[in-house]
Amino acid sequence: MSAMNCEKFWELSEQWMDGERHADAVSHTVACGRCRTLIADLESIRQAGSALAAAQEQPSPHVWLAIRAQLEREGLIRPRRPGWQERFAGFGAFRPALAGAYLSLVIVGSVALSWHANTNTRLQDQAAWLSHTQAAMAPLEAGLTSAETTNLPAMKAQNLDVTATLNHNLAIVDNMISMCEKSVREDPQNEMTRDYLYTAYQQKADLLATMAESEGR
Amino acid sequence: MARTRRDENGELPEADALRLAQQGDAAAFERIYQLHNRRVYSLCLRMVGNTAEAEDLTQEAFLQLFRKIATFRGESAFSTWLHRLAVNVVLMRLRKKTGSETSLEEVTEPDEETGGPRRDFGGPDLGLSGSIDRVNLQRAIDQLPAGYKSVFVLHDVQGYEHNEIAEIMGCSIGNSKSQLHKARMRLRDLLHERERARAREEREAFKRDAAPEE
Repeated sequence: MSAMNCEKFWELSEQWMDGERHADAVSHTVACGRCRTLIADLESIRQAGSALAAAQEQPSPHVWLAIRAQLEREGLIRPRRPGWQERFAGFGAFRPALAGAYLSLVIVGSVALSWHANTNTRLQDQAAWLSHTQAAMAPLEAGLTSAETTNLPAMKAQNLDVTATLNHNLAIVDNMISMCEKSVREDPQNEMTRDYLYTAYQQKADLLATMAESEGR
Repeated sequence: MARTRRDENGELPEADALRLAQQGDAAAFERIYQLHNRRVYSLCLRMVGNTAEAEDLTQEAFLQLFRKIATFRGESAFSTWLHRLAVNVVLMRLRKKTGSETSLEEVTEPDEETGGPRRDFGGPDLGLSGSIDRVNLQRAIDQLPAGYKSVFVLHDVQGYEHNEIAEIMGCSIGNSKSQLHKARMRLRDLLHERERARAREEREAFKRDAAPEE
C-alpha cells in the first residue's frame, strides 16, 4: 500500500497535471481508482479545452466595418490610397467599364455622403435621402455587375489564387451590402446602418480597384 | 523612410503593419485586424459564451487597441499586449454584469462555497463519460468565476504558456498555475453535476414511460 492518501494526492494533482510525477503519487494512482478517475477527468477537460480552439470561429464582416467606420469618425485612420487621377489612369486604360463603374460609385458615394452629412438637421429629408440613394445606386449596381461580368473571366484566367481570394472577399462585401440595404430600408433613420452601407460600398469599390490593378500587373 | 516589405502572399508582415498603423495607415489597421481577429473573437466567445456579445467585445477590444497603438513600444509581444487588453475589456464587461469587483490584478481566489472546486475526497468514482461535449463544456465555462475562466481559456483553449498568461493577467506564474488547476477542478464538479442531472432526468422519464396508464 502506498504511503500517500487521497487528500495528499489531491494536493499534488496540480503538479501531476504539470508533468511532475512523484513516485508516491504514481503508486497511489495504481492503488486508488478514485484518484485515477480524477486524473482522467482533468485530462479529458484539458483535451476538451483544446478541441474548443480547433473550431474555426470568426466574427462576422460587419465587425471590421464598424471598427473602421468608428476609427474614421474619430480621425484615427487616414485612408492610404492613391489619388483618384492616379487610380483612374492606372486601370482606366485597361478596363473602361470597370473604371466607369468605380468613378460612378465615387460620385454617387460623395453625393450620398454630403446628403448624409446634413441629416442630423434635416430629419424630414430621410425618405428623400433613401429614395435618392436607391435611385442613384440602381444604375451603378448595373454598371458594377456588368463590369464584373465583363472582366472577371479574364482575371480568373490570369491568376486563379488571387482571383479566388478577391472573389471571396467580393462575395462577403456583396452580402454585407445586401444586408445593409435591407436594414436601411427597414430603418432609414438608423445612422449606424447607413454608415455600414457607405463603408461597404467603399470596400466594394476598393476591391474592384484591387482586382483591376491585379489584372494590370 | 523604412521600406514596406510583403510576405510570400503579398501581405504586410506584422511588424511593418504595426509601424504603419502607428502612423494611422488604414490598410495597416485592417491587416492587424486580419491577423488577430479570430483569436480575440475566440477568447471573447469562450469568456462570454454568446456570439453577439463576443462580437461586441471584439469590436471594443480592437477599438481600444487602435486608439492606443501609438503607445506600443514593443516591450512585450504584440499579441500578448493585445490579449491583455482584450481580457481586460471582457473582465470589465463581466464586472458590469455581475457587479463584482473582479480585476486583472486580483486573479480571484473565489470562495469555495460560491465558485471554488469542492475538495470532496469521497467524490465520484465514475469518470466523465466519453469525450466531453463542447456545448456542456462551454456551459460549464460560463459558470466559472471570471479569474478561473480567463486562465482556463487562455491556457487550455488558446494555448498560452503560464509565463505569457502571467504577463497578460498581471499575476505570478504560480498564481496562473494554481488558478488553472482550480478551474479544471471546478469544471469537473460542474460537468459531474450536469451528468447527474441528466441521469436523474432520464430515470424520471423512464419511470413515466414505464408507469401503467390509468
